[in-house]
Amino acid sequence: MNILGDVFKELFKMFVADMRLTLTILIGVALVAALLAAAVVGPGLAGLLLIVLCIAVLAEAVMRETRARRGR
Amino acid sequence: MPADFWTVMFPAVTAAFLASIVEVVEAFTIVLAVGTTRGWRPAITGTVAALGVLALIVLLLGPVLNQIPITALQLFVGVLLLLFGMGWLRKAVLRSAGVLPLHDEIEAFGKETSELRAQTGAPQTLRWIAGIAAFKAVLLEGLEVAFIVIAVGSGKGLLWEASLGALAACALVLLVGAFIHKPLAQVPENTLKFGVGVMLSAFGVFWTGEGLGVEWPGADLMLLPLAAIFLVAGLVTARMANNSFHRSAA
Repeated sequence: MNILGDVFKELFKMFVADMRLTLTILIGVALVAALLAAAVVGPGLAGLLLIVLCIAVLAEAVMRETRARRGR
Repeated sequence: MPADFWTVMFPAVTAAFLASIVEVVEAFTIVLAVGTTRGWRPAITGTVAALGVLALIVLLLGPVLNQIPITALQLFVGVLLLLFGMGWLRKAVLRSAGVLPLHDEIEAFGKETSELRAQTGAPQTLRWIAGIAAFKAVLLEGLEVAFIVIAVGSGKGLLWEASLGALAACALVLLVGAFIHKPLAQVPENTLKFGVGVMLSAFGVFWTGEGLGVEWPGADLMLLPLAAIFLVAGLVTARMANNSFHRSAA
């Protein structure tokens, strides 16, 4: 039993349950940060963008998994 | 009562409590399998050792995070909470929609018991293996609880309160488990997971935004509408996934 290996595997799974979801959130947060830093959007709109991003990512991840399992 | 009790402290402690129930129920199933198959000594020893390691992680990491400047900490913890919370919410939505099967404690108990019974060797070796199985189960399930406690606790200096919430859940599950002496299959695990996913995603967006310099209307009060938005989004997505999955199956 490789306990340390299992611990690292569990830690990875905690944040990367779905690779595309993880990457999209990270890229989205970086994008909002860049827009905010460049003053393209204000502090209020940036919050709204974050919320919309998360909801869209959640819906996409769920529907993608649903489509993938539908054919099985 | 602190001014931010209902908007910050209550959701943070509740998230730690509910997440802890989900994970402790899963760990309890394995510990019960170990206890009934190989005796309670290895089960309890493995459990106590794992709880000690988890307590050490929280005690060491919590104060370290408090040394990081608050804006950087909120961004770091916020993004991690977002990834973790959205992961839980995604899984709970898929289970709720019937796309993924629900976690079955009776099945997990049967599988662990069979694996333990299939092992051969001297009684001392078998007890040692059983103790490690209990240790591993509690450690792996507890890692998620430790993360939640540290994450929701460190952002607002609520480490002790969040830890107490998690410990209360642990005590409750162990008490009920010791009384009924069976896997806790009646616990509405996916509903709890759904709720915790909603709360952690709301905390994640809120703190990520704070770290980036977002000005939330109503400040901490915004956590409640954020949780409501994630709840509605989760329920609507579950309905859509359910329709799509079963329409094609029909």
